Amino acid sequence: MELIVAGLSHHTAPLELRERVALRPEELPRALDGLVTVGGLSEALVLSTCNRTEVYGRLGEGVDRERPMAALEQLRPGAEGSFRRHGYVHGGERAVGHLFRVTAGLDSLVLGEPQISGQVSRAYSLACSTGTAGPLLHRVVPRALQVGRRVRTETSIARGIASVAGAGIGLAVRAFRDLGSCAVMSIGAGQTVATALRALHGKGVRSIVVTNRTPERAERLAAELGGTTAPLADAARYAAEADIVVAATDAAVPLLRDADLAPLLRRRGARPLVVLDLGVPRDVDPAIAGRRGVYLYTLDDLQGIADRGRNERAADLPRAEAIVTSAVTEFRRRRRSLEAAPALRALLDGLLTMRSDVIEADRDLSDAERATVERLTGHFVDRLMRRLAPRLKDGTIPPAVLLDSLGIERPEAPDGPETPDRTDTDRTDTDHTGPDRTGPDHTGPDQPRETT
Amino acid sequence: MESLARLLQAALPVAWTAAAAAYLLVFLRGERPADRWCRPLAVGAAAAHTVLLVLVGLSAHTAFTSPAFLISAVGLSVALVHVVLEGRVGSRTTGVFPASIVLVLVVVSSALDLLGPAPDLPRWSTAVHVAGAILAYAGLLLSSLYGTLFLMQQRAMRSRRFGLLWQRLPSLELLDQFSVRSLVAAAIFLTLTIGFGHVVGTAPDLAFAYSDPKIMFTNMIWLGAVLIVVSRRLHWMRPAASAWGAIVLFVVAVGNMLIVDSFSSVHPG
Repeated sequence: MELIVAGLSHHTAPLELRERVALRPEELPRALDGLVTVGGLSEALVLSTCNRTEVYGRLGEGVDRERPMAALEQLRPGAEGSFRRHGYVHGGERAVGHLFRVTAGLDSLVLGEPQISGQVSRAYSLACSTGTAGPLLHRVVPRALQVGRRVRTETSIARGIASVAGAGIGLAVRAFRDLGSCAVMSIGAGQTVATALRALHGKGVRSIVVTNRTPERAERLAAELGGTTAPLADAARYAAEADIVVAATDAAVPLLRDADLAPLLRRRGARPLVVLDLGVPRDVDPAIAGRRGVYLYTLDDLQGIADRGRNERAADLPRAEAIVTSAVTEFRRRRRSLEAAPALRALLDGLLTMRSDVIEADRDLSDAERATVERLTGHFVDRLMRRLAPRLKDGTIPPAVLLDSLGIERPEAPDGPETPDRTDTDRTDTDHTGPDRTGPDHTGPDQPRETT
Repeated sequence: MESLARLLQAALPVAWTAAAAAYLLVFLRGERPADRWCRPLAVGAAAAHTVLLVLVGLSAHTAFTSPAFLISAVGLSVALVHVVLEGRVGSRTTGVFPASIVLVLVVVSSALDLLGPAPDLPRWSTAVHVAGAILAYAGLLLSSLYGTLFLMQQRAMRSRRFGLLWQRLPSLELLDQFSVRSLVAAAIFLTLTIGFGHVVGTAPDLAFAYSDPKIMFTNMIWLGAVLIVVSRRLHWMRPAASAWGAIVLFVVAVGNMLIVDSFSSVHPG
């Protein structure tokens, strides 16, 4: 019984490929069905986010480890070979460790981001409801969710702010009691503004007004976020009525000038105005920062907050990794203990049968002598079992080897066919991208900022 | 009854230490268990505190003239105003500050022999006057505390110093609301205490004059609090100005209590 994970992630595949192979929620039931019927998995769970598409499960007996990859590729026309070129397959303990790290947010693009835990939970619920989750997933996924919770509670890995969009929200949250009461306006409708507006929209802001030089682009973004558009020429008027202003254009001169905004600000009450100028060169006149109630921040300010948050999180990474490692060890110990139970029962039965066969064979024994021999050999079997049990449970002595050498029949595996016990789990891995790239080194300066 | 009071007096510093520690964990680390427990701990400590002061009041009708009782009562008032505000606003990140103040007041009160004898209290209206003053001072203290936190958060945001205070303090709006609401409570209790002070002062055996420095300063504090509250309501004043106003009022109130009393014939020092 061995967990397997096959897929690709932001560590191994470019964004375009990840977008192409990502599965929409409505496609997942069909994908799970395909993985079981075509992919050769007896249990399956699909985790598909913008940063990873992975399948976790158990291979059927004699099934090639590449088959789930091929099944994933079949779900997307034009994705042939992409999983095998950019993906990875891990088995055994490494797959368990990978799932634990993913669920704890240690493998995420933004270290410690919290959404992944909910995504794993939803993927598991779907696998349960479609009937593709079996005994192995029922054991390993809830444990992964527990480990994720423990890592988040006991370390700083999920604390603080670690992205530019998060820094923008953090600044707004320090100004306003309730973001749900905030009106947001943007100057520009490009990727940077869109990311910030999506993050604010996710926090349930009251309204969004998009201004942009190209009205069509503004309308597209406003439609996506349920907002409205306004002419760029009226930016100052809308900014004075808003609570949060996000600006990022490629204009050479500031589009929001102090001279335009200052007279309008007098009509505002005591409510603060947070201005996030994410443009380079700047889109907002720096003189605005001197106005009462206005809090102006540039991209450097937000980047500084995010860098600091990432550094704080990264400093606690060793502790988080230690929790995952100990959880994997504990999981292995429990699994072996569980798997050893039928073998221990078979061993005890076999030894007792041997003992009674030997005693029965000697017809010269009196009843008193037979009772003594039975008592002594009973003690002997008991002591032998006490010594063997821990070694069988921790895998020092493979149960199958011991039973075979004593000529005792092997029991059936507790939940499904037994697979050979591997002590070197790395031998079961197939990484199509060369050296292992799923390590913790993803907090560098070139790390993209969007969350999973 | 006295043994229960003694037990509560001994337990109260421990209870407030636990509440302050839980709030400190929420402030520094945002820990979930602490977040779950800080409010029940504070409410429990405030309840025990109330029982203690009621027991002391029942056992000695002169309690209001005991410095230990007054200090403890200010602590309880701070706790009650904070618990009510926290319940209404729903944020627990600033609880460490009032809880620490209450802890200090409770420890000082315990050291001053809360259960010892106190001078006679002449009439019941004096008790209401003193109780109103205690609650008003508690309101002023909290208002100045949250005003100070508001100014600190505003300074951090303006100077772009995104350190621990910026991370842990709640929003400017929330701190401003805490400060203004505390000031509203202070204004209401000051009105009560001034009214009953008039009743007490006009008694034939007391020398009462409106020109007395104590009365003049108290009326100034009341007027200042009312002006700030009304100005904020009418949007004539900005949050930072009212925060400074709350701090000034509290400083004047402390001076009124510690210094002006020496020159007053109403409250001889």
